[in-house]
Amino acid sequence: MHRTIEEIQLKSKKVVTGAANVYLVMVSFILIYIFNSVSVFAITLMMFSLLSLHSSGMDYLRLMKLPALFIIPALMVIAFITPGEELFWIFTEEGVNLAFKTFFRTYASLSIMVYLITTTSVPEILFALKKLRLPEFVVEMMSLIYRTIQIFLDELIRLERSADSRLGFSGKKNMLKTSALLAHSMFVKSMERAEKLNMAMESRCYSGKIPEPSSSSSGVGYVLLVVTVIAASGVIL
Amino acid sequence: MIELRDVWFSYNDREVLKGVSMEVRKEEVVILLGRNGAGKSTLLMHLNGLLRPEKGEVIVNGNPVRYDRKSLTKLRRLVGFVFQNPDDQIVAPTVWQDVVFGPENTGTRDDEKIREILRNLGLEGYENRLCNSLSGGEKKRVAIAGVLAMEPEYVVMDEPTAGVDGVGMKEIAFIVRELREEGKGMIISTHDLDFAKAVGDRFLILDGGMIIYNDAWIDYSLAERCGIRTWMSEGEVVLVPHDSCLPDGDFDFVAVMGRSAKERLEKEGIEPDINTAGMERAFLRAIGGARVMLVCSRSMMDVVRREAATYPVRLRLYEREVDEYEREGVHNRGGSGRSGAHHAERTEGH
Repeated sequence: MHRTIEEIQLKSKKVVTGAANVYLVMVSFILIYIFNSVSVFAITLMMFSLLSLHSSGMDYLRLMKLPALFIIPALMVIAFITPGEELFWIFTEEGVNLAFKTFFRTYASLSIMVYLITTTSVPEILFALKKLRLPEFVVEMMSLIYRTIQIFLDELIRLERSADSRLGFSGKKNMLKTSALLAHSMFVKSMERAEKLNMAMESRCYSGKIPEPSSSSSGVGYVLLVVTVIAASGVIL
Repeated sequence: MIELRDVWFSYNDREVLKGVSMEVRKEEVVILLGRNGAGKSTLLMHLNGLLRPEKGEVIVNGNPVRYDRKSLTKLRRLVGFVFQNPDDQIVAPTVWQDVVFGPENTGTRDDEKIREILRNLGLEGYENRLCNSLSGGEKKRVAIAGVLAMEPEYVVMDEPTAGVDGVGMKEIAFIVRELREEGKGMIISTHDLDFAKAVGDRFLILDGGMIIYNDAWIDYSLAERCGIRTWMSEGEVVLVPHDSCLPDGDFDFVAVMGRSAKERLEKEGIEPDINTAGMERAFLRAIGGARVMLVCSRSMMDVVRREAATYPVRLRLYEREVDEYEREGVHNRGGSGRSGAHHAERTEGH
């Protein structure tokens, strides 16, 4: 059975933690945007793949595999529609070059994103952004939304299991009816939940402050190493 | 001390609390018992200012509660509230963020103290865990930690053992005892009599919107009738004083206690199954599911009643005067001689 992203985050062996991880990802994105060359993309892909394989193992490959379903057809289209000198069959030389570059750019970006989501929790990302002057109310709202999504997801899984155990999804007609019922139940529960959330916050003297996660930044050495390698590859190659 | 004086509350037309008066002192654990829908949660929410009584007042440390924002903040720092469902209470995504939530908002955050609370509740190392990845028992402990981090003088817990296994229940009982040792006053609603007896100093029963019982002890029969979860057994002890008629019916065992009772059974020609340690062995058999007739000297009736309250055993008193007809020698066991007899049969605790 597949693990959820949150389970992967929990179990991952992180070499960089906390806000430093978020900043590493942001700087890396900026660097690949500035240098815009296949060699930089390839080195970035390699660096982040190594980091991710170390931290989350096979889960990294599983997550990288999923977008291939739409990236590869898109690359084929690029290779086909780009005008230029014909290379073989319907593909042009310019098209193949562009598809090649797009492939590396896409996978370099993906590797950075997958690295981020497999090693960093949403609260850590939010509070790293808060340090970069993201307004406090946005962080507060996003934290509450994230917590609410966690609760609703659990609730939805329970409802779905309950419906499934009573053959609620047997046949298309039943599936539609059950889905409508579940949507209704979720709506009612969301209203109840909003009331309870308000009570819970009131009972603990809520005054507009959502605390930061406790994780501190570590692995700054790795951040410097990765950033230096990407930047150097951009300058030299 | 927290005091409730003649508190009334209703949801629309439905009256839930009808003049509730009670008090909770520091270093005391008060257990609030009652069936589902009795109004336990509603009552508890008044203590933290989450609900405002329609009539009556709530007094904390001698000061009547006021419902402006500043007074409520002060009240909620004094009286912490642990919700029944931890998912209702946990508002932040990670354990640390949730536990720190209250102190951060009141400006009383002390990270060392919070780490100590997490350590005491077995949550050390969980700081960065996402709350939705925790088990039910862990979530419960996070909810308790979130309240304790505010360092309240009183803690209100709404059914802390709901959905918790035996190990979890023992952990919560341990936490409650520790808090009492620290001098906190606690009021806990529960359906669980085992838990209640393990931690409670005083027991209240809320029924029909009123406190119908308030004492330092509670027996199983009363708890059972008030819809409280107790040891489930079909067995019972039918307690018969030695000078009463003996009851009809099938008994798995006949036990005897006291000289007068032994003489009575000899006179009736009944050989008791349990001759020695009659009360204890009768209780054990009843707990095991058997129906036991315990014939007892009248002078020892109170002892049996008192002891029965401390065991998960159903005790029924059967008392019937022996009329003249029976005294003339007609065997009184098996249905004869019923007319004219004064008959008293009741389950203990009524």
